[in-house]
Amino acid sequence: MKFEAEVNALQRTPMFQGVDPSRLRLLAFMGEDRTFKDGEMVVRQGDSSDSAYLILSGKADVIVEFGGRASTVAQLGESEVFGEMAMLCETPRTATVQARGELRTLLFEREGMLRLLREFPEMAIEMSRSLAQRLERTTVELARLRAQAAAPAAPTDGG
Amino acid sequence: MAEKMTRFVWRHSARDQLVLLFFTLLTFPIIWITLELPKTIINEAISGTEFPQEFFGVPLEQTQYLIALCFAYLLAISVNNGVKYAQNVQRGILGERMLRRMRFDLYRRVMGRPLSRLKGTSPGELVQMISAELAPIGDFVGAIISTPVSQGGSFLVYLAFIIVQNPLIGAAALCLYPVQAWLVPKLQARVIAMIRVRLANIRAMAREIDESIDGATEIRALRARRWHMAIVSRQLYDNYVIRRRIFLLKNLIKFVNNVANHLTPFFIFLIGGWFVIHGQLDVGALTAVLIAYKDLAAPWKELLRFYQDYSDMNARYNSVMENFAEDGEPAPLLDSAPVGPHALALHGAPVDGLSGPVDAHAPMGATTSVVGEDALARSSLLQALSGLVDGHSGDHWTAGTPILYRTAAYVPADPRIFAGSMRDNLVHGLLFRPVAPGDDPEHGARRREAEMTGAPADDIADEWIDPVEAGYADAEAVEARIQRLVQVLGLEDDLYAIGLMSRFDPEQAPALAARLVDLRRAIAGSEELGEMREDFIDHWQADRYNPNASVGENLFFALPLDPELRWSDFAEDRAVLRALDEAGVRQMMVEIGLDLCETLLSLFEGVAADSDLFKRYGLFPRSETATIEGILRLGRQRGADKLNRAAQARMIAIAFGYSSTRYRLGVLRGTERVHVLLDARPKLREFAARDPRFAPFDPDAFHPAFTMAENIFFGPVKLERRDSWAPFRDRVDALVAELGLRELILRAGLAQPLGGGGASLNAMQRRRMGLARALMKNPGALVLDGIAAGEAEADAALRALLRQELNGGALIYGTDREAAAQAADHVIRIDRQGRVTQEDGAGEDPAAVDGARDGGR
Repeated sequence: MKFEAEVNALQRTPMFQGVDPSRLRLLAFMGEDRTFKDGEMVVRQGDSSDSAYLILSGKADVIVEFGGRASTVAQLGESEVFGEMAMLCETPRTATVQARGELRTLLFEREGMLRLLREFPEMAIEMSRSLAQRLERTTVELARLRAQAAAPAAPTDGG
Repeated sequence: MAEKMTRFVWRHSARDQLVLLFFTLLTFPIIWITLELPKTIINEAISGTEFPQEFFGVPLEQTQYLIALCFAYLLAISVNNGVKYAQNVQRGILGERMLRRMRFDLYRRVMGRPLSRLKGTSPGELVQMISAELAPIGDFVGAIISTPVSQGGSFLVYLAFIIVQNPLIGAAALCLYPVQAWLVPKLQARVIAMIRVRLANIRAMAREIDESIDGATEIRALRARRWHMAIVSRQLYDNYVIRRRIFLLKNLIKFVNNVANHLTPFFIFLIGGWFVIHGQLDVGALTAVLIAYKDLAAPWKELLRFYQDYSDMNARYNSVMENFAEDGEPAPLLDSAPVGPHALALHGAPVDGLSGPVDAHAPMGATTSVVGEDALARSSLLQALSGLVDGHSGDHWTAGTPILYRTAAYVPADPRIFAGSMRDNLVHGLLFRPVAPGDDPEHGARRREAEMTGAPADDIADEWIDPVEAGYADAEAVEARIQRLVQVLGLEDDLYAIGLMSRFDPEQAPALAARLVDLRRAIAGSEELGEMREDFIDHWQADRYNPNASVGENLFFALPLDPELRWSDFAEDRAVLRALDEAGVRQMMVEIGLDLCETLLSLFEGVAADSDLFKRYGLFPRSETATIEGILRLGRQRGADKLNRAAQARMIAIAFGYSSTRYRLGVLRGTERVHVLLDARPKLREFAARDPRFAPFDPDAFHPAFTMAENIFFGPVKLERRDSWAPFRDRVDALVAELGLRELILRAGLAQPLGGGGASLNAMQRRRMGLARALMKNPGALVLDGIAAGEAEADAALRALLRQELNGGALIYGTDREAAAQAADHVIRIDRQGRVTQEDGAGEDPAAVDGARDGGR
């Protein structure tokens, strides 16, 4: 079968888990290979975005610049997708992604992605389910952080 | 122009019509001779007994006499047809000239319409009228006098001939004509009425089509596509009904005529035969009558057709001209502007949307703002100040300079960019009138034609720019200014990109071609750049397969010379197919095509037929799917070599276009097929080098089908590295600048046609070009309507830049922001009631304010 490796990688991502493999094959076909060398930027924070990436092999750092200070907030590895939110919402990139070592990715353009979703609405439902789950996790996390921030002197100290 | 068609024709072609008339009159005696001769041949040469006969004073025996008469007949026929030929040619030329005159006249009138009226004009309707509706009139008017005269005359000649032979037969031949002459016009009148309805219907449709293209976005946004298609469908139905009625009527008319024409011989045989039997008429005369009668039918038919055409054309003409009735004669184009003390000034001028006559001025060399809440009123006033309102004269409008095109340069927020190159667009404002004749050999012919049809003799091949009048030292200075404006207005990077994407004929600029190849070698030779090139560019190597390029390019190691053509366009070419055969890869190419189609079809299984997914990612149009499936089935059942020629060519075309990195469908089976393709390359490369339609890749030669960029890099950017190659590109750009090539590339970019009237440019680029185009005029005043209209720093900076580039010209800008308005030296205010007042502003530059106050009063 063609695009076996890509389809496998896509199936491992939460976003595409429930999607039919034949659709994923088409999605993989629509993607374009992009490779990056150590230290090369995949996307830059603040840039306009019209594509998302799936990591086929290698690692990448997620770097957020805030108030003139850049800090690595996460690391991405095989079968992880990034850039999809900014791509779908046409918002600027919220973080920089930098290759750490040799990085092989598959790039998906917004145009093609939207056409595919229009064609197969069930895929859109799967994707939005996964995005909603992620949003919920983030919301819980945010609530937790807020609670922490509201009570800086945690009572655990005193105990 | 409420003028009648006949009057229009007579006024503009009286002389030519009279010449035609002369030719026509010339034919009548000849026609009589062609009728008289057969009679003489039968009665005197064939049945005659008295010989020798005198023929032009020469006595002749019977056979000789017959031959002489027959040749005389032949001569008469030849002369008759020769004259007719000359007459037809003359008539055709006259018709074409009249058509040209009518078309140009209408265009001239449209160009002269007030802007306010032009806004309500539907382009589709106009195109329909000027191109389609007028065309048959041209054909017709050439013959408007000669046809009735010649056909009517012939008719009378034939009729007279018949009557001379025997008046009774003449009466018989004539008896049905009155019936036709009474019935046909009645039917015809109904046809004319229908023609008018038909024209209105077609125009309505043109307007609807116009609207659906103009309003395409809204129609889609409103999801009203089906409604609009239903409208056109209905109009087409109406059109069908009208056309059906017209042709039914026309056929009825034909029927009446045919019946009448065929009834007449009945009378001729009956009455003529009776006379011959009773010895009152000879056989020769009866034969001659029959010949004459046969000929009589033709001019009669022509006369009726002329009558039909005449009413048809008259209806068309009137229905076209009605639309221009209000236009009148356009105001003559001014040569120079009325001069006043201000850069621009209105004196008691009526302005659309403003109350009362307006008095306003913009001081020389200063900045003036026009402030008001209503954007339309502001635009109106800015346009009036710029002298764009029609019929302006010294009574209402004056400017600081007499050179009309330099008085003001008006730039709207979204300037229109015209077809042509960036240079063409930038000098557009200097094309006021021709200043020196060009050296085109056809110039004289065009000029004569123009004069003959009432068009101006202005020739686009002439030189139209007068650098000195436009404020430049010479033509070089114009060129230098273009480059400067491109730079200061931030168009240079765009222009550089356009230049890099352009192609040129190396024979026209061999030095540039050589330098680009040198640059290519320098990059390959440089240690650092060479390494980067390896990383980012899949450059062409004779012994390597290039996965970033198509199979076609890889096989032939060449490209078609015509950049519009791809290798897939040559899949049916016999020479190419033979070359594939000789290289032994033809069947494999068909198989690659089959594999590709199979894979694509299975990938797109389940995708709706009308999906645009396929269009974008497939290798063949979706509409072809059924055909391709058929080919695939046959190919798989019987083998690729059993497919017919067309099917094989289709598969080869698809295979030609496949690129491994772009499609990643694995049809080259790793390296298996790659090796076969590479082995075939030397032979095919040789073939491509021999065939003048192709140009082979050569690392040491300029490639005419490559763009400049492709010539520098000598290969496609690797797809997988496309996101990272910017540093390499920047380094090469720097090297290009270092070698002095940037200038040349920019210059090439200037001459490159901009696609689709600037549709390829974004709003920002269009605006910058609009400003550069305006500044090229060295205007006395630059008028901005919706540009640099705020108090933000960027707007103020742009205004400062423009002032600097204006070299002492005034700057006028419309704004709805009070703060922005106050930054000007002089403020023209439009209040809510549309009243206009003037006051001094604070001015952005105190020095300029003083000067402006002195000059402004």
